[in-house]
Amino acid sequence: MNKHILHILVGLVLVFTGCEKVLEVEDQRIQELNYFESETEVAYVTNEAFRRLASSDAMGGGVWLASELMSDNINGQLLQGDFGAYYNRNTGIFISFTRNIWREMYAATAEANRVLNVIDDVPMDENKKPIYKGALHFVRAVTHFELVRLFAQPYNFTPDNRHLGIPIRNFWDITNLTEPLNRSSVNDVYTFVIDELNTAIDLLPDVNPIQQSYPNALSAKAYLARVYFQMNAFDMAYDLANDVINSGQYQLNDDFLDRFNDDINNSEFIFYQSSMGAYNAGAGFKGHYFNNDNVPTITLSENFYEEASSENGDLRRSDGWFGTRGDFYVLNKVGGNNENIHQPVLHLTELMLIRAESAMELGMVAAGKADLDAIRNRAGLGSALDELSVTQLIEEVQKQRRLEMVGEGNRLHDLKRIAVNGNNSLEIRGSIWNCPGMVVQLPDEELGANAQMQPNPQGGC
Amino acid sequence: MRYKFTLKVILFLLFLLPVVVFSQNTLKGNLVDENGEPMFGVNLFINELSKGGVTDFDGNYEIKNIPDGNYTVKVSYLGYKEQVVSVSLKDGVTVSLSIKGLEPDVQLVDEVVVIGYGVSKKREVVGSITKIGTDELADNVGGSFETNLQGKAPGVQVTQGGGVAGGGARIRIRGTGSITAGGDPLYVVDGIPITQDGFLNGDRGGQNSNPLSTINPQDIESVEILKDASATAIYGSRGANGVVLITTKKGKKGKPQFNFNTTIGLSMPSVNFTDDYLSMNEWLQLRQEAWENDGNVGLAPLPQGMTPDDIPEQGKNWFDEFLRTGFRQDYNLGMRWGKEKIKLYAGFSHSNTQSYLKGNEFSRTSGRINFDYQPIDKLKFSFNTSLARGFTDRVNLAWAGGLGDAESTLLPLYTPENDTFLNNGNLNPAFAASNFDRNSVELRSINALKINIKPHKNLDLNLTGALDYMNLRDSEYSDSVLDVTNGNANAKLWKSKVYNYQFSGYGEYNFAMLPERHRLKLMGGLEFQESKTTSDFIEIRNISNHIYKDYAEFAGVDTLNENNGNTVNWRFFSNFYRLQYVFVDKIILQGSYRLDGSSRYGKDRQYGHFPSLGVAYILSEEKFLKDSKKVSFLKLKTSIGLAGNSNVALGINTFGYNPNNTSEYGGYPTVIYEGEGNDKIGWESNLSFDAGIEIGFLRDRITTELSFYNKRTLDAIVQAGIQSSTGLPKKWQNVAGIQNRGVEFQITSRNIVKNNFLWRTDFNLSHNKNKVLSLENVGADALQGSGDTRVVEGEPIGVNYLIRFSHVDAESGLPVFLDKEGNETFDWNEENRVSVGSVQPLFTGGLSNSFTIRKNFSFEFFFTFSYGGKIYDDAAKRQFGVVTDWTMNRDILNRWTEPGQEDAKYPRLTMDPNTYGGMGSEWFYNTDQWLHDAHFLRLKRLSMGYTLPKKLFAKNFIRGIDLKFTAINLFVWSSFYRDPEIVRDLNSDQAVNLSPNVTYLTPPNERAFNFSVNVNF
Repeated sequence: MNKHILHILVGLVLVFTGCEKVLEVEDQRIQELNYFESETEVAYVTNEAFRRLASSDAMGGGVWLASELMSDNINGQLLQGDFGAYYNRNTGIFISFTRNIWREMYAATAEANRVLNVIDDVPMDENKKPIYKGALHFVRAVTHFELVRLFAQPYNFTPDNRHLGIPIRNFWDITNLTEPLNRSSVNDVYTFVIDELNTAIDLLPDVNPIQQSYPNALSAKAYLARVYFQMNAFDMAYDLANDVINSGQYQLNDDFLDRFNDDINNSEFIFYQSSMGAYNAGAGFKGHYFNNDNVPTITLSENFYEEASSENGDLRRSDGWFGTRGDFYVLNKVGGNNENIHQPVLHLTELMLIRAESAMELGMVAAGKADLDAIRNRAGLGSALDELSVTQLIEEVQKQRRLEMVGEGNRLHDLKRIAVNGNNSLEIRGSIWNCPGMVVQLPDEELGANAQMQPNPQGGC
Repeated sequence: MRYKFTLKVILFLLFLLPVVVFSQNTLKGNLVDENGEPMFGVNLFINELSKGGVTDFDGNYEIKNIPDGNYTVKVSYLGYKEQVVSVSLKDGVTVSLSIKGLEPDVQLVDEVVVIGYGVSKKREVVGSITKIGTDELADNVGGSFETNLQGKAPGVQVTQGGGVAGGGARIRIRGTGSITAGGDPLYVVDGIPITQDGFLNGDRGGQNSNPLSTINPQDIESVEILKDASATAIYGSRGANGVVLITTKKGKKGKPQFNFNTTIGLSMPSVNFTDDYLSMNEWLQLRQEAWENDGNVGLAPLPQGMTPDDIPEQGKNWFDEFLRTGFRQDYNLGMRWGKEKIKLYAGFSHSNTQSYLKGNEFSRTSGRINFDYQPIDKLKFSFNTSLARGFTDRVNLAWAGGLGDAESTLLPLYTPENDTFLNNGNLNPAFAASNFDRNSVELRSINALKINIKPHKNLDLNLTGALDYMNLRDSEYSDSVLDVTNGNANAKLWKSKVYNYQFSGYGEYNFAMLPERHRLKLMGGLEFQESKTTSDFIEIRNISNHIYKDYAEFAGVDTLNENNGNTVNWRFFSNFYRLQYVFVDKIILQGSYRLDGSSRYGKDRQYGHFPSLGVAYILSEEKFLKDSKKVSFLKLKTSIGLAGNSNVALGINTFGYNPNNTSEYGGYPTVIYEGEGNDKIGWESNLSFDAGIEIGFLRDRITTELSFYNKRTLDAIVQAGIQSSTGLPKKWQNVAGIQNRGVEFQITSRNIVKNNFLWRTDFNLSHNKNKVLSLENVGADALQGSGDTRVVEGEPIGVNYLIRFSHVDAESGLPVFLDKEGNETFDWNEENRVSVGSVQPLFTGGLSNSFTIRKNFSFEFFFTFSYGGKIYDDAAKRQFGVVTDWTMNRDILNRWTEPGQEDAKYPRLTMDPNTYGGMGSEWFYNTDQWLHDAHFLRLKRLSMGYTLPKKLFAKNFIRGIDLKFTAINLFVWSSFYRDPEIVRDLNSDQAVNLSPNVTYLTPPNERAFNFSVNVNF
């Protein structure tokens, strides 16, 4: 009998050995180093990068809203919670709204990084590689630029721009994700953004042959114009804007109401987020400003409405962009239409206004005024008066920027740009432009994992 | 003197003086005790004939139709040692017998406990195991059995999860040893590790499923809780958080015995909280005050665009819309039967439990058959099968709405305009609730076939094949009337199906060839387990009811979303050994080892080794104690062992692009990166050291056990530690070290054992000290629990990490906080957060006193208590903070109102969070002002029972009837103004680990009154 027991025991041990296979269960995930086998995978992930970029937490609404809340376009008196904190310009580290913006923007960045890591080795049409690469460099530029504007004091806040920016994520290393990465200086972030856009300009053709909604060389140039304009580098901004406008590829919409519509061939779109198929671009933008049954969450400030009402005959008011609902002023760029639109991220109107202001700053007043008048005329206003001084004309361009681009996340950054350009005492809704709260606090998810990571100063405004 | 008295009590023996009368094949007699009092209910059983009798109220018995012969008569009585007397019966001869009295049977030494893969005599157990009997488990009407473990076992902290029907409890055995991984013990039903993940079908409306709720407590014979590594290491990678072994009832030899049990009861909140809130006029007045404090003039704007004309004359009491008295009923029928080769237990039950929340109920219908067939001595088949259906009608809770709304956003000035709308333009919640339905159905079947073979008298082989099947359906139906814009009805269904297979074989061999004083036993076995979970989700528009049936018929109708056939599976493959050596019944040495392989871990980390070693020394076997009259039993034991925790989410060991998880952008397909996994992830292992002493006094009238433990979790799994700028908010890693050290004490004393009066006391006390030893580079905010609890190195898990509130400044009325160094400041700065408390109690325990009077009446007072630790009231920041659109607690009336006011409890009212030191949002206002002592003493159960006199059924098929009245949670003493026992609406394992004792509009536990009738026949 004892022999049998021995056999059983030996059997048990033997059965065990060589059982590695027993534990193999089906797994659907393919590690990124093995995933990219052809253009198909490159295309999927590139699309995913743009989907994350366009998500309602990121460029589909969150990034715009964050800066609008902190600026003077919005009436936030009754806002509570996260939006209230932004409106109060006192964001802490525990704001979901911030977490989501940060997460989605960097998720788009990570998708770009994962493709850029391997694309040179993927067997696919070599001619298409530069197009994917250019598009993804563009994504990285957009995410870093938009984040550094929100999470750091503006360019030129310090003379050498060594003040804290954001972490630059231009790499993907799965083996070392826990490695702490600190914030780069604003200077380094801008340098990176400019390099990325220049790379994109070099790699991309003027018309993107893969997807219409992917950026092309002109989109990258236009974005770079926006970046230089933010830096008050008017010469570069002018040249780039000029290039894009003179390419002839874009025309102003006859009616400003067309800018937010469902026409994918909108002649103003320099870079847009597409709602083709099941995706609803700009959902985060529409949702906050539009409510069929009630007052929407976000309404316009009296200050804005006064500026918008300062001239008679402004079609933007009479045709319904700026309206009222009960005691509230509301923004209705999507025309009461909550169906899918294609969301413009960069449009010709902005480029015209960049060129206008840059030209005036550079002394080309007439050229600048021509662009300004084009915008004014379309809004039902006459051309700007000839007797206006250059300063007054520039102010008029800035006013048109505010009215044309309200809701598009522009105003806060414009005011900061103006402030660093010799208007050191400028106030934004009652607080000095550079008070700590004018910068969004980094989210806990970012700070918690890196003890060296410096948060922005607390204390609001 | 005192001692003598005690001795008298102890030495109290019952002498039976039966007069056995023989006449014409009938055995008759009368049993009286030493005082000449008749003994009622004593069983007499003639072994040779398998027949017997019971003494009646006067102590008489009669057994008829006995043929001539020599017999052994077994005399037994509950609570006393059995006696066997021989009797010779011949025609016409009268035999007179004198039998020695029955000894009270209070010795624990022969009790058998279930250990993993086998049973053991309790006296030979080396590890720390607490056994809980069936009668202690069945009290919770319609509820889940585990909630009844509260206060029953030292080292086992049970927190009931609020008054929601079918809800479970949070159970921690010897502290919390995990952070992101589940901290629950492993549940094993009749040897099968069952599917126990409460989050596998997601959570909605503030609730997730409780997979234990479909186990009928009445089917349970016993529950053994394995606490230390020497006991749990045999479960290897799954034993680190303790193991709960559930053994179901078996058939018994003899005539079929039936038990029918029914209970009806009422349920209501255990604490009154509905009067805690401001009236409408008070609320309006305080809002006005806040408005004016902020420097505004005129009327404060009303919330939600309301105008003064909309204000009703009288505010509405919204609690009426959500509360009721719940009614419950419970029916159980059990049968036990057995013959020489066959044994059968069958149990059927149905229960329906309404909670005090309108629309919330749980019902369970279950059946179980346990069948044993032993064709020959050496072979036995056991087949256990159970089928249960649990149905939970759910309502929104806490943050999700319902009662939570009445305590937050539903202001008394919102009144119904008509059936559908309120005066603020929102839907009437009552209307919304009646047109929205959410329920959850769980079908559960646990089946096992076991074959037991004894090829040799010293060898015992067991083979098991088991299937644990679970089908969960969470369904929502929203009527078209709720979609004001588009008028679409909407139905959603989440389905999960789990097939959990287990195959195991183990053998136990007794080494018989050893010298007499030595015993050696070896157990060894193999186990394979596989679990497959398939999850589906579907959302359909414009259908008329829940999507219950196979929804293929709806496909393409108006399907909004569909996500089918998402399958995940995992496997375990293990072998295990246990060697037990006993020397002269007094030294026990036990070693065990398990090798576990699991698909849940990274490729190179799939196998883990889990050894344990323990020794026990029964000193009372030594000469110097053997004849002691005071100490009847004394055992010392100590052990060391390593166990693991595999209670981790599936798929954390892989990462990458998932071609089956796709999306779309711009009309083109995309693929989702699932990157939180880590292919280096390995076991969470737990090294524990234990020492204990068991003492029985006075013939074990008093038994005590004292144990110490020191557990260290190495490589605890966290989901954190990477910056979200990587594009991943979280990553799974083995980084943390955790220590739990504690002491447990338990005493059971039969204070008075008299024939007509029994008094028994059970008391247990546990102390646990928890500490996070290491966290590597993970910062405080990387591991968060609900309500600002954190994981901080050097502090217990779930530390309250808050800004300290000092006082209200008498002049300005502004709150004064403390900075990190303890200096007063007006500034609100999140960098001033410090660890100010812990959600973990210092001591927990239970005290039960039970009395039996004249054998018919019984009373029990069962208290549970908790000392130390803090409660964080997470809703206080809104109910006592910035004036917003929330209703507020009446205590806010103690706010600062004028300069010079020294004693204000709350700062001056404001509608602008900036007022309080520049706080960004009313949601940030987390301070230690909302932290409360968590001490409580609760009369958990008060029960009164009455057993109808047996003589009523002398000629009846009924064997006995018991009546019982039970009051649950009758009183609680606590300094916290709400229910101090809190498990918040937690939706992840990490939240459960970090945030017990954090309340956020959490519905309190119920107070219940139950009346039950138990009939044996």
